[in-house]
Amino acid sequence: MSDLLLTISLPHFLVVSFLLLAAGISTMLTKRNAIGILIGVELVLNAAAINFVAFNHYGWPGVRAAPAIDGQMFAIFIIVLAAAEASVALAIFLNFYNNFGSIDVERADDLKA
Amino acid sequence: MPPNTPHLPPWETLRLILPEITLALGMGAVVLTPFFGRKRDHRSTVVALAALFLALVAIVNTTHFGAATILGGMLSVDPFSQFFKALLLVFTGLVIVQWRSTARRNPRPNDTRMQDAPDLLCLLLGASLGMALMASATNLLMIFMATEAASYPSYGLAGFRKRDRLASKGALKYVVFGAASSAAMVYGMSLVYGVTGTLSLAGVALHIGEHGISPLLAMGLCGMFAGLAFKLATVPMHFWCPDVFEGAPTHVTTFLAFASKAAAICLLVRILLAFSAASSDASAADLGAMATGFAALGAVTATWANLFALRQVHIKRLLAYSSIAHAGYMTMTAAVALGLPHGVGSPNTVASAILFYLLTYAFMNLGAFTVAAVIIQRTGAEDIRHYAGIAQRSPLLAGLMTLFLLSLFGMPGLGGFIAKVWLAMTLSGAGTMGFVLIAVLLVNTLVSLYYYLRPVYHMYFTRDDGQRPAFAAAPASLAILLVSALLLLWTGLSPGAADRMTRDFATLAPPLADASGTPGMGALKDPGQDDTNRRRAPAAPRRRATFR
Repeated sequence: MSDLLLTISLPHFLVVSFLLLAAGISTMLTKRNAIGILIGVELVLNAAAINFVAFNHYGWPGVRAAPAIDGQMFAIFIIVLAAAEASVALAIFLNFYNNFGSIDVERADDLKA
Repeated sequence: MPPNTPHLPPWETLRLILPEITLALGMGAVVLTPFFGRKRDHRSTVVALAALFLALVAIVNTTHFGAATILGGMLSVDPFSQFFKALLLVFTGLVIVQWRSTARRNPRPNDTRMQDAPDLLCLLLGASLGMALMASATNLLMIFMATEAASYPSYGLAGFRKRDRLASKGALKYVVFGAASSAAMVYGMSLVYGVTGTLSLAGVALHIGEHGISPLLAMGLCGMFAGLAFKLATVPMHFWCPDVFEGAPTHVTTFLAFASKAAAICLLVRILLAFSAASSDASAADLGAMATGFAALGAVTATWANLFALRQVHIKRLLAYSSIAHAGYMTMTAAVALGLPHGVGSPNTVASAILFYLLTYAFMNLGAFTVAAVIIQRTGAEDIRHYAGIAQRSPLLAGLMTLFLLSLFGMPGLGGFIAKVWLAMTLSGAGTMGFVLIAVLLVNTLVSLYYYLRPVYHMYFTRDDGQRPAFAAAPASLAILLVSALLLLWTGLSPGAADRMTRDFATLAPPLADASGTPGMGALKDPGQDDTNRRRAPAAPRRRATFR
């Protein structure tokens, strides 16, 4: 068994983060439901949070690992702001639904006021 | 804490962020006003204006400081940021006055209701707080927080008229695009952090200076700038802008058209100046490519916006496209900060040209939107083809609107012209690329004349039945209009005054000059070495910024 499979290191986290990013972007691009898009955004935000924590812990090859806990702090702020963003976005979606009876973003383009 | 950060005593730090603290307290106070007696709209307006005024005083109180970096390198408080903050607070205050004075006496169901005043004002103050922080941020975390703090209240403001279908459509677009772009920004920042190992802007700049830009770092930077491009509404991220501006109440549109773009451009200038300050031979080619990228972005944005503005008939949409075009001009100029070609184009020239542009743009924008708001208030006309006969019914308003639109176009004799000349002068320091950009600026300006004159044509040369009554603006609106018009005439007509302003702008400390928090930044680029490119040698001490 190679070392890569036995010890968890930076690449493992980066692969997970990249998969989350890919899932998030494809969700954002394909969903027509506004809440679906929001879910895609949350996936990308969490991918970034994983990146931050992993980079903070392991450091990039050739670059010294950051001495402080900057990356971990950033991850916590991402969680907080993601919650705030979701609440604002959901309020706007709800209001849109009240006005139009749908939260389909493609129809939002065609609907006349 | 980085070794080079000046260790300020806590009270000095507190004093430097007092404007932001005041705004935050003001937000809380405004929300609490309804619990203390009736007349909630009047009281909350007074509280909000008082908070803005106190924050302004707090800003003036920081001017003796020159430039300082505080809170472990999170924020840099320097004349550049303080000038922008002062302008932003004055502008926000005037927007509040504009809102009060253009409210209809008999509100329609879709209007902003007066009893919602505390909510509206809280959101306005919150957005200002975020934008003020954007102008000071020197750390990736702070940039992210500030951008989001400016965005969330803006989403709320865009959808403020809850029963209006246009507004809720605009808000939906705004929040969906905004969320996606902030996600791109955060992911980009995570890559930048990974590659450079630091969150400090100066640290990132130093890394670029030493190692150039690797493909992964380039990806990260692209993501990060995508978030900024959204706030600026440059071309790939512009779709939200016209819809939001049309749907939002006019006072909100006025606010967003200037404030959100101005804060983003200030942040962009700060980032690019940091990069160029730490540039070296290793990174010159990469930074040159980045500069070309920004120049192209600005040029495409301005051209695109001007072409689409040609067919707009809704006054708010027209001004929305106009604001995108102006953001494009400023982005083009900000690109010069990176050095086009490397080494030319002094940071101070760019910063002062941008600040001058923001100053005039704030007031011509405010003026044009205020006239539009008064016309909507008195006649309900939002379509410029319904402007027929307004020149007869209200000659003063028609004249003022003409003045503001011509200033937006860049008519000689008005502030908008001088501002554009300064942009061109800054661009001319950037070699061949600069002259291409000047050509783009000129052609775009000429194209824009068509759509700026369309409302004027309809006001003066389209006849209506002549039976409808004359109308005039409320005194407060009129005061805003006259102040804006005088300011534009003053900056445009009086070369001496403009010169003095030039000097004051040019003596601004380059952002991050001693604000890096990283050893070596000051040695790499001394702010004093740019004197040859200044329009005038700095006579005044640099703390002497203009505060209006």
